Amino acid sequence: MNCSPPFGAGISVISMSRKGDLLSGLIVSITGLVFLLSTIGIKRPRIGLGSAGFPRLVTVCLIVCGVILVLRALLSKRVVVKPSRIDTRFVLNLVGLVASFVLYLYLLKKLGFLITTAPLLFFAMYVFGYRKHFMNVVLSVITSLLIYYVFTVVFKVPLPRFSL
Amino acid sequence: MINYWLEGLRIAFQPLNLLIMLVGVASGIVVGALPGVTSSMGIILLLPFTYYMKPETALLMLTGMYCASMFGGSIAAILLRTPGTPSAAATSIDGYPLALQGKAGKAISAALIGSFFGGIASGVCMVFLAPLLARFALKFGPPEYFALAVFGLTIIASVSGKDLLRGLISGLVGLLLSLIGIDNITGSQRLTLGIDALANGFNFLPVMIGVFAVSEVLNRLEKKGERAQITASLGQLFLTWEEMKSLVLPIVVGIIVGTLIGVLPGTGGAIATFLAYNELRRWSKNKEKFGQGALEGVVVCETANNAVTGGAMVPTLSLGVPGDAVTAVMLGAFVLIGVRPGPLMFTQQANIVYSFFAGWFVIQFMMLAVGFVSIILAPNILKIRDEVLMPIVLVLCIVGSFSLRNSVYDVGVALCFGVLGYLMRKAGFPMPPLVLGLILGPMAEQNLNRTLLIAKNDWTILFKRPISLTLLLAAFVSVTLSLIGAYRASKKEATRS
Repeated sequence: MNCSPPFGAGISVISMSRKGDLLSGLIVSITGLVFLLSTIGIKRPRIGLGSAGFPRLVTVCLIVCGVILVLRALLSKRVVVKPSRIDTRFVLNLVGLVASFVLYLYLLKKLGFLITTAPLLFFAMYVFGYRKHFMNVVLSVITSLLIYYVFTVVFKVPLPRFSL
Repeated sequence: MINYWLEGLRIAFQPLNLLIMLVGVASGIVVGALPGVTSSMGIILLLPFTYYMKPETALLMLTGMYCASMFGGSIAAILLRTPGTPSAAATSIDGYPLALQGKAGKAISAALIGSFFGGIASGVCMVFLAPLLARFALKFGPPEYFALAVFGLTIIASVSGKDLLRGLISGLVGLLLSLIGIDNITGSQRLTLGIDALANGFNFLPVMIGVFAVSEVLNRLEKKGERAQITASLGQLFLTWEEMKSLVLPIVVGIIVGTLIGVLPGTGGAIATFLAYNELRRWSKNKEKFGQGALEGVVVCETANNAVTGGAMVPTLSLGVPGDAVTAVMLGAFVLIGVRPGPLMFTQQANIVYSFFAGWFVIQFMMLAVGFVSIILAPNILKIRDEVLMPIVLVLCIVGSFSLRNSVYDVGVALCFGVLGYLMRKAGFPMPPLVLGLILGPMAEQNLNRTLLIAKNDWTILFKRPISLTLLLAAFVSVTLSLIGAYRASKKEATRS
């Protein structure tokens, strides 16, 4: 197994999976710690678990598991893996889709379901690679109308509506 | 008992319920057939449509989706070699070679017949075993329920995939999420980190929508453009008499293995299908045909796959503990539509239980009929493009999470958990343990608290009562076996590399 660092001598190189384990382990441990600390101050009853008993058990287990993951990363053999290239287009699409969803959430109550959903659908289809723009518009509008009709008329769910 | 059955049959045969079951079955086949849309996702996406239905009607619709999606998975497995559901993975071993030989139609027909018999047999098993187990579970007190929840949580080990530690972390995250908000025991807030919006905790459905559906949409975005091609025509649909006769043994093997595996918590369809396939191949006179396009290989997998469904419903219905990852989602869905699985369900909601039992068999016949139509339409179902499907799934996620409480906050929760679920998947954390933690967390905490109140903080009570001791021992054995399995697998991996 080749253990030599590819970026020059003296630079410690951790393979992507080890890096992943290390990062995941740290995030898990810190999350556990934050929630464990938030239980400080909750009084323990004379009998029974109380509000903090079970959360403490779970968070401590989470911290321990996170630490094991970190240790596993540090103790595992260093394997040099070909660094995988990040697909910039995919990252942009992903960020764009999530951002459009966040914007949609912001506008949903203000503009209503129909006005906001059709553009979201259009954008999502575009991001997924659907390039027939006319069909995209038609599908977006029809799908939004259909879902709106089914939920508001058939199931009586009051989806947000635009009002001045 | 007979009265309950008659009432159940009356409910199941109401025209509206028949129509609802038909919708459930048809959508189940489509969901199962589409790679990337799992049974769990289908059940979650169907849930918003059931809010305003009677619980028994909603239950029948979800059951239709659950059973039919198991068969639907075989369509993509045979035509694309991409299993629509994880439990259809073994089906492609012989199904795809059959498709290449121009016998896809026959392979899917055989899969359908196997699925039908598997569903019927496991239904019979469920009808007999679930009430028995529920009657036994009436003896349970808080210590037994706590031990049962612990045993249920050991399922995490078997649904964790390759990395047990990551599965455990995922389960603990689920447990942690279930604890955020107002504590049911004392009524005080906890783990909210000062964020007011967290005071009510996380509702189960938006979390599930996020973790299973939104994260899958984001995941499919990465795979856009990867599209398997249907390589063969369907060919003939109907089997010859000789071929029909050759299906008897695989169906019997599939039923036995599938039902037994299904009843065991923490197993599931994927294990059952591979086990049944191996057993049949071992005993078959035509071993060499397996893997080259043996109709028996397809049938045994699909029979076992559907035989798991009824078996997995036994602990779900009678104990409120899911048998596998899909029934964990079903269990959550039951609670949302107002059905409370557990031993008391058999006395307090008997009409729901028996309409479910009766509907189960009706659904199998519907699956048989709709399934044959779906074989003809299969190539068209598989032509549904991700570019169109996934955005629609996204909008259904929005509507589904919104309509639970008419709250935009829940849609935000679904989005946050979608992103979290996506990142967790990318980091190799499996999702089913998270759901198990989310479901079993409150059960474990509340019953442990009650146990300690009864026993005045004496933890040894858990080991003094025979049933709780047995369940804890079973949990210990289950975890030990999983650890041994994981150790052996890692050793094998190390030897290979």
